[in-house]
Amino acid sequence: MERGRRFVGYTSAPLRGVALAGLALLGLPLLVVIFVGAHAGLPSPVFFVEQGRRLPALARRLAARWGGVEIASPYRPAPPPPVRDPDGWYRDGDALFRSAFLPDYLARLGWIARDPATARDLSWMMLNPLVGGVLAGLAPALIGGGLTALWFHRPAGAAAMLLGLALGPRLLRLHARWTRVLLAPSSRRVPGRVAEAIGARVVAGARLCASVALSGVAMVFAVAQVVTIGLMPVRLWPETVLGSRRFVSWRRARIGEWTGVRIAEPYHPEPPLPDPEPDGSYRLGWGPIGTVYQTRGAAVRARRFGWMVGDRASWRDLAWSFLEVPVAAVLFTGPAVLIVGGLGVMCWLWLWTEALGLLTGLTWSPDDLLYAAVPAWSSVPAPVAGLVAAAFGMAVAPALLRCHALLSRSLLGPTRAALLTSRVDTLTSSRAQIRDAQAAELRRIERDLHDGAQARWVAVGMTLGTAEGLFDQDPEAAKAMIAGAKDMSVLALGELRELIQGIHPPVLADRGLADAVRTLAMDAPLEAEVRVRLSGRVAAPIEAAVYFAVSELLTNAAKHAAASRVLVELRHADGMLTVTVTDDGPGGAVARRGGGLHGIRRRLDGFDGVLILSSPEGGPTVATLEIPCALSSPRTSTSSEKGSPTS
Amino acid sequence: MRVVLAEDVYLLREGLTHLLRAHGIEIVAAVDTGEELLDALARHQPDVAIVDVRLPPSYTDEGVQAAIEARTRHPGFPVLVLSQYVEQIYARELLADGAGGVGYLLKDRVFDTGHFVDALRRVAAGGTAMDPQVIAKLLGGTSPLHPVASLSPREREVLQLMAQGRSNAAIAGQLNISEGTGGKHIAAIFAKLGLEATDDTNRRVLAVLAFLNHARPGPSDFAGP
Repeated sequence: MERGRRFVGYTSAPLRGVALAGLALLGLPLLVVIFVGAHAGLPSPVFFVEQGRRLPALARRLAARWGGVEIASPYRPAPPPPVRDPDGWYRDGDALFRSAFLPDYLARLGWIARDPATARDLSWMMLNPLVGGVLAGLAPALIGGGLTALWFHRPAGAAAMLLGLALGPRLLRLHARWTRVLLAPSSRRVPGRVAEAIGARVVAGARLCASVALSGVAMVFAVAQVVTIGLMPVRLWPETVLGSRRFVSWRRARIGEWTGVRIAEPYHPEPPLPDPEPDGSYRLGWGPIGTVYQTRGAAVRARRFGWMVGDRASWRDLAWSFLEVPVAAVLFTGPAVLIVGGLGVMCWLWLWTEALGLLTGLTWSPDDLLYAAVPAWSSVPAPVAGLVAAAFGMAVAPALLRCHALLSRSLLGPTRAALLTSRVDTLTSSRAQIRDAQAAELRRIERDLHDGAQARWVAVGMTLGTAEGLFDQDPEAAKAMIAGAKDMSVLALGELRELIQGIHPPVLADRGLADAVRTLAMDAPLEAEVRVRLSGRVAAPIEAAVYFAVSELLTNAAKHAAASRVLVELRHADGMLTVTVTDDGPGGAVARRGGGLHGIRRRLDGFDGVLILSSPEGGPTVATLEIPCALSSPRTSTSSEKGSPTS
Repeated sequence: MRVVLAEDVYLLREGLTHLLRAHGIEIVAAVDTGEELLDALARHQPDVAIVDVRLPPSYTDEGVQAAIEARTRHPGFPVLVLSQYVEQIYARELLADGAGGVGYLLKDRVFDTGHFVDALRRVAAGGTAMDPQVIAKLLGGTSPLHPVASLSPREREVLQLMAQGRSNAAIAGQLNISEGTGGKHIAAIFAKLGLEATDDTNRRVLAVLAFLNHARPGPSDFAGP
């Protein structure tokens, strides 16, 4: 029985190998179909990629049945169909749609594009003919070749046939394992240091090649600006500049992301339109002269034109856009040619001509063509030379990208004057906010005192006066009134206490920020741990701002996030006070306008502080406050506690 | 009973002096800084000290610091701390030595003369008098996971009175229940909190306060960054 099954295994393996080799060859035309189909029309990318998953699915099934390697499906679940809102619209982010088709399509497109398994499927189709095809085809090729060889050299032919038969099942298992490499769900292993360094250089190489293409885009924008300013300076040029600014801003962000060289936005904010004259016209002044505009549209266009002409950043952007191509030519062209030529031509093309040569028997090779240019390399095999060239290009890519980033910053970054201008703008607006907040706070205190404590003390006085009058005639009634006045004074004290707590909490004045935050943690209905690393005290207004911010964040964690544990950390390093509040709630918190988090941001603005909220679905929610400030007196306070009292 | 009083606001100092004298309590010294308080305690050897939290020269928590210092020099020395506001952190620091003889009350409580003098006598006798607001904060600052959350509303009331330092009879009187019913509630509370039952009022109060202070589920396994 067992012997019979093994016999079937050995004889069927070569046939299965033929089938798998055919499957591998099918991958390449399918890849072409998907690639062409995906670019053919709107609905097609999702359709072609999704249908293209049938081939990898078949490969997975065959790996399990013939190679004994079970491979789980790696795809993320499809997004649910869009749900119509009560108002009849379909919503996708900030966009609204009447019909379900477009939001559904967008959701599916995002799903397909973001799934790493898609890219792995496509890479498999590209690589499988070379690896899987060879593994699968080796046994049948040995048997077929041996059969042919039987005519002229019998022992060699028989040996090849036997070898092919013996290797068959083993090669099938090997083939199944190869299938698992790309078609199984990607395991998120942390790459080693070497792998990471190589990966970073490969990515940098790709970015370098992309930068070459992007320099062309910059040139298109530059030319468009020059053409429009000549043809329709007021009507068309500002639109072109806006488009160009969008591209340049995106480039700034990419440069920052790719090289760590952060470039701030240098543009002036758009100035507001002046109020119209009584007759509906607008008057705009340009230095010593001015113009009257009869319609609002004309005034807006003129104002916008003036705004862009007057902003030096417009001209610096333009200069950068013109310089991109020459700069990229000098910095990037060499490595880009090495990478694209080395990988694309010398490795890829060589592999395919060799493979085609094997299959068709034609011995045409691009070697002659490639080596004609560089005869010195002709002793090195083309793929090796290509890999070395590409590796060199990738190795120098990070340094070159950084060089380009620094050059770009000198033109794309704000000038010193622009920095100061924007700083003044920020200060003006934050000062106005503080002034308003202060006035509102004073009004609130005045109202609370007026309606609360003050009114109660008037009542206490009146009651005591009445009691005084009654004292001789009705001592019992007078006594009751005095007791009432006493109760009222207790209430008034309670109100004053709450008011003081809201102005400046006494414990903050007595003990400083660390202990005040600890009392907040003690009073919060959660398990709150406080870790403090402060070697002194920060300025009183900052202490108050942080105290109220932490209070708000703890309230949010307990109330909205339904968290049960919170960690509050305070530390000061490099002139920056950092406070993080981490809770174990379900996440998904957002800072709404007018909400508590918005209030914290407004309060922090006055100290150049920021609130960063990270709250992914599923948690944890981490709120981080950062306030630049110095520490005063070098008193040390380092501890981590909630339960035990401080010494 | 001989008392040393530390209070920097003249009106309150005089008011308290009059009030206590009216109840037959002798004020042996009235001082207005923490340092003077320690001197006066050393010189007069009173039965109890009444201390305001905020005292000159720093007008922060000098009073609490002086009270803790006095109790370090004479463990268990009875101190009644008065304040315009109450904070858990001060209550914890005062109770930390677990020796009893500690009071921590809002100044408003002085209005109710009878209760205030009771509290003072209790503290002087080595008992405890915690302000209801402190107890409320201790109870309010517990998470839903805390054993206190399993108490019934009535049991929480009893626990609050117990933590303030009231005797079984006083608790029953305040809640209009029989002493037997009160005793049952107390037994149930001790069972639910996993504390050892005792008849000694003072030890019981300290056990409850220590429980509220320390026996929270440790936050050490917090999965923070």
